[in-house]
Amino acid sequence: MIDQAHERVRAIYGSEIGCKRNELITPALILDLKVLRRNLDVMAELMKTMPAKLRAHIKVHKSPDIARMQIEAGAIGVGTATIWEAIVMARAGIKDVFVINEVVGQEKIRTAALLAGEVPLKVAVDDITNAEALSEAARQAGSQIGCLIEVDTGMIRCGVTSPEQALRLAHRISELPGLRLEGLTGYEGHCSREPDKAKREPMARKAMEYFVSVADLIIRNGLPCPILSAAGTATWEITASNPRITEIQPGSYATMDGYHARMEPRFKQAISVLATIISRRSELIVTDVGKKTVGADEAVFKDYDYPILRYDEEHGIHNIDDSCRLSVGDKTELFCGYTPFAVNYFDAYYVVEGDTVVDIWPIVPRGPQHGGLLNALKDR
Amino acid sequence: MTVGAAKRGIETPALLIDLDTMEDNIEKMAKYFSGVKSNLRAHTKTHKSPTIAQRQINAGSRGICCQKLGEAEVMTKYGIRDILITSEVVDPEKIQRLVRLAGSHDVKVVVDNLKVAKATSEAARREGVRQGVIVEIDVRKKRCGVMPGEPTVAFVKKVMEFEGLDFRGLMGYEGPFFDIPDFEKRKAAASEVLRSLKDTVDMVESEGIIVHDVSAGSTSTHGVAGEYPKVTEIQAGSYVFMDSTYKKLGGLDFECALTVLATVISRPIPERVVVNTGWKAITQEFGMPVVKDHDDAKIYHMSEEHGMISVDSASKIDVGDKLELIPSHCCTTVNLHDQYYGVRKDKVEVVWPVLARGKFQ
Repeated sequence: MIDQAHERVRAIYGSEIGCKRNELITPALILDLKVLRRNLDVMAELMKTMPAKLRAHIKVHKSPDIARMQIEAGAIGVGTATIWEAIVMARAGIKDVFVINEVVGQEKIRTAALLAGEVPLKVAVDDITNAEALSEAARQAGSQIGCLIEVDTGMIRCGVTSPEQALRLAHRISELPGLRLEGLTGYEGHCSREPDKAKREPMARKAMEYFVSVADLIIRNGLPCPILSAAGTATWEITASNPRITEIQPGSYATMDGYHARMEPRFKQAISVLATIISRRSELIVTDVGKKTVGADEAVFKDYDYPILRYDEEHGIHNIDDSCRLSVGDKTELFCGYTPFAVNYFDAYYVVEGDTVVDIWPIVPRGPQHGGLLNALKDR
Repeated sequence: MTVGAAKRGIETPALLIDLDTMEDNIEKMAKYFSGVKSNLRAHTKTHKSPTIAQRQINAGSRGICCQKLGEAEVMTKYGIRDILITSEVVDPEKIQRLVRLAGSHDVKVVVDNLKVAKATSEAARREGVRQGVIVEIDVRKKRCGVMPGEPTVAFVKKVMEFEGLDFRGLMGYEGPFFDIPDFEKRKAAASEVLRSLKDTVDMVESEGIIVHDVSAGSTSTHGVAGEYPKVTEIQAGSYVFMDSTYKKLGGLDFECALTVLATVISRPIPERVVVNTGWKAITQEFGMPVVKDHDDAKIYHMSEEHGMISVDSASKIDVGDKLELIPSHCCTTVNLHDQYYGVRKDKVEVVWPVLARGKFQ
């Protein structure tokens, strides 16, 4: 599956290997290997002193190649948002895959059970009926699915909403055949929306205090709770410092974007989008990169400070002044507001070393299409 | 997913078309244009599907618009001949691809820059073709285009001097006026913008230049631009699917044909359900999607793979149930997906690829 994906995108974009990064056909998604490697090294170095381990969330980049690099740089495994992403990661040879999301729906549950027969798969659970369905599927497949109870630590999304609810679910999971109670997951996503570090850190600390108290209740009742998994790039450090948290699940640290750069300046932006100026007049400049290319979070020039006037579907419109030397036909790079959004529109990365394209890497699975899961599983 | 299967069996998130509704929309638009002098040139940026484009042409659309050269290349592969590319093509590599298409198809492109016009003319001469060009006028938006009036007249004259270019007309996009739901008010606003397009056409024609095509319009203003003097063709696209934003506009007799099928993956508290559909499957730049057939259910937040929905605590929605979400913006939502499930009476009738998705190069 992974080799085929490489072949497919190399067939489409491979003729540009060897080109300069500023000469590519636009819009082009550029991955700067040097910056990526540096981010992975910085994280590896910082994690050395932390009690927690790193689990890299791959929903950001959807790249088997980057995921492998993250494992090489010390991540214990990967986190995914969907079962489809988990198949891709398993096929990429990654042994520890955690779908940090509820897996619901007959076909998806069956897929999870079959995949769990191949790799030690973990999923998040917050509902007893769902746990029972997972158990039944695992029993039929002859596999065992690792379950982490999702605890809502303040984000207000999925997850059990009280320690007692978590305990009830833990009891049920521990008695169901085919399931293995592995612990708790509780991404404190509400903290990632707080730009002020002085406010964000106490918020995250408080969320984790509650999270740990849920684990304590489960342990007091004689049930296992070996894994406590939480955190994103905006809270990784404070949460990884908590001696009770066993693993953190950030993703954006590897490639970064405008949103996270404001909160975590130690990591640098490794992904950019090359744009062409398609129209210019005295007060504004228009690129061929719009919302259908980078998403609603828009993008800013990497090398210039020209404010956004508006983003349309296929046009990025920026205000300029007389000093602007860009003219129609020129190419220039943009940094994305939110990388997971932008990446999701592209089929492939142009991988650059310095100024030169050295490879094309596929983005799999691009888009929300989850159909044909069981077929995907047959695809080695 | 097998054709003939029940809609509720489709794996989610999935992009659904209600075929009856889409066909009604195509028919209604065709009926409108059968009664006016202008023609429809359906904008396919909405659906990116040659199959749907062909249906629009079969219903009377004179040709299609594409926003990108890559999209036009896909459409020509599936037998569509008459295409207007509605954004500027400026890269030398892309200009080369453009003129190559023009050798076998009636592919026109908008221009607003003389350097680009010159490069296009040289490429067309090398290729031995005449490249159809439409001069884009910036009648409303601060985006691309030559300024209306004298600057356009001067620009057109220069374009006509370039060998290899075939000047076909002018384009001015006046829409969409989402902020004016009232049709009469929208008509007044659109007419004011269209006047500068018409005046510019008059000025160009008074120089003895033939303006074959005057291309304007959108779904929200087709009833204005479609009857405005000098306008020959209307670039409506969203009418085929509609969305919750367009549905707020008065004077549009189309229904929502496009939904995203989602699965409820969690109901942590009685007042909240969470679906497996976030903004990696449905866009939110025009607001939250609408939950179809559940009046109490309101989407109040989305993240990448989650949609958070407030419901009545007595709601019967349960984990594992499937809900249909009506997008607030059909064009950008389609752009996220690789295929459509065409559904009729709750059965999957066809599966169509979104063939021009991602063809933004």
